[in-house]
Amino acid sequence: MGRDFHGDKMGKSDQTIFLSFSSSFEFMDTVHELTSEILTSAGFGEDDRYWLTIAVREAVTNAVKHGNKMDPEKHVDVEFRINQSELKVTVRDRGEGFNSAAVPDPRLPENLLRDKGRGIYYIRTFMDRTDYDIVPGRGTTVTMVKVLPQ
Amino acid sequence: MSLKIETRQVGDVTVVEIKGKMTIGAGDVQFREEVKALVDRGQKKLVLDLQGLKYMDSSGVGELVSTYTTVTNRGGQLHLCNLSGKILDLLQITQLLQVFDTYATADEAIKSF
Repeated sequence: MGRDFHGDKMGKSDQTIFLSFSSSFEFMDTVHELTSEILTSAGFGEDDRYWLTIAVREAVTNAVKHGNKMDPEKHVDVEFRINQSELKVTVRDRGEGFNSAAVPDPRLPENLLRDKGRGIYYIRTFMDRTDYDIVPGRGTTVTMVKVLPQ
Repeated sequence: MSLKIETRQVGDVTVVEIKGKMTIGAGDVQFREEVKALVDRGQKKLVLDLQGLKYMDSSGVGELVSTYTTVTNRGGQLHLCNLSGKILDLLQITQLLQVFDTYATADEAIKSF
């Protein structure tokens, strides 16, 4: 895990925190605690921290389970970047990719009784922006952005 | 924070109190197996008391849905009670309040059968 600081012209520092771990759910609590600490230091209140930790957990879960297929040889990379205006979290897996536009809407009547398929919807609900960069055969990177509290 | 499950019987109604955190790899399977065991033992009227549930991800939500399906497919009924705050919000966001019968208190849920 690494932590890096970059100063900008205004004298305030951007922060980058990076971690990489093998594909296992045993690291979820570590990711959760780190996310919560970062959110706290960025000034997010309790409510925001609750929802945003869920969003990050969902992205990591998808990377571990669906992207890397729980293969411990494949790592998940998580990067947190904070600047003056926003928090950006990227989660990258080494999987085959997927069609992010084809993810079913879990709110539709025909999907309500499915026991899965809500993670991406929660991410999009709790984050201000969510983008997927998918390179077939080389992995998926989800970038989630939340504007810092004023 | 881990998941704790406590059950109690009120007549022919089984109240399942879920406390703590229910997330992937931490409590989701435990919850599923606990409810399945109750259904296998012939329990047909279940109340899930969520007052003590503090944190849940989409896997936890999925387990609630899955257990609802399991119970109803086996001819039983499953009701929720003591939903509030963020747990309520999580279900509401994905329209799941249309699926579950929900009650403010365990007593109301028990009497609803």
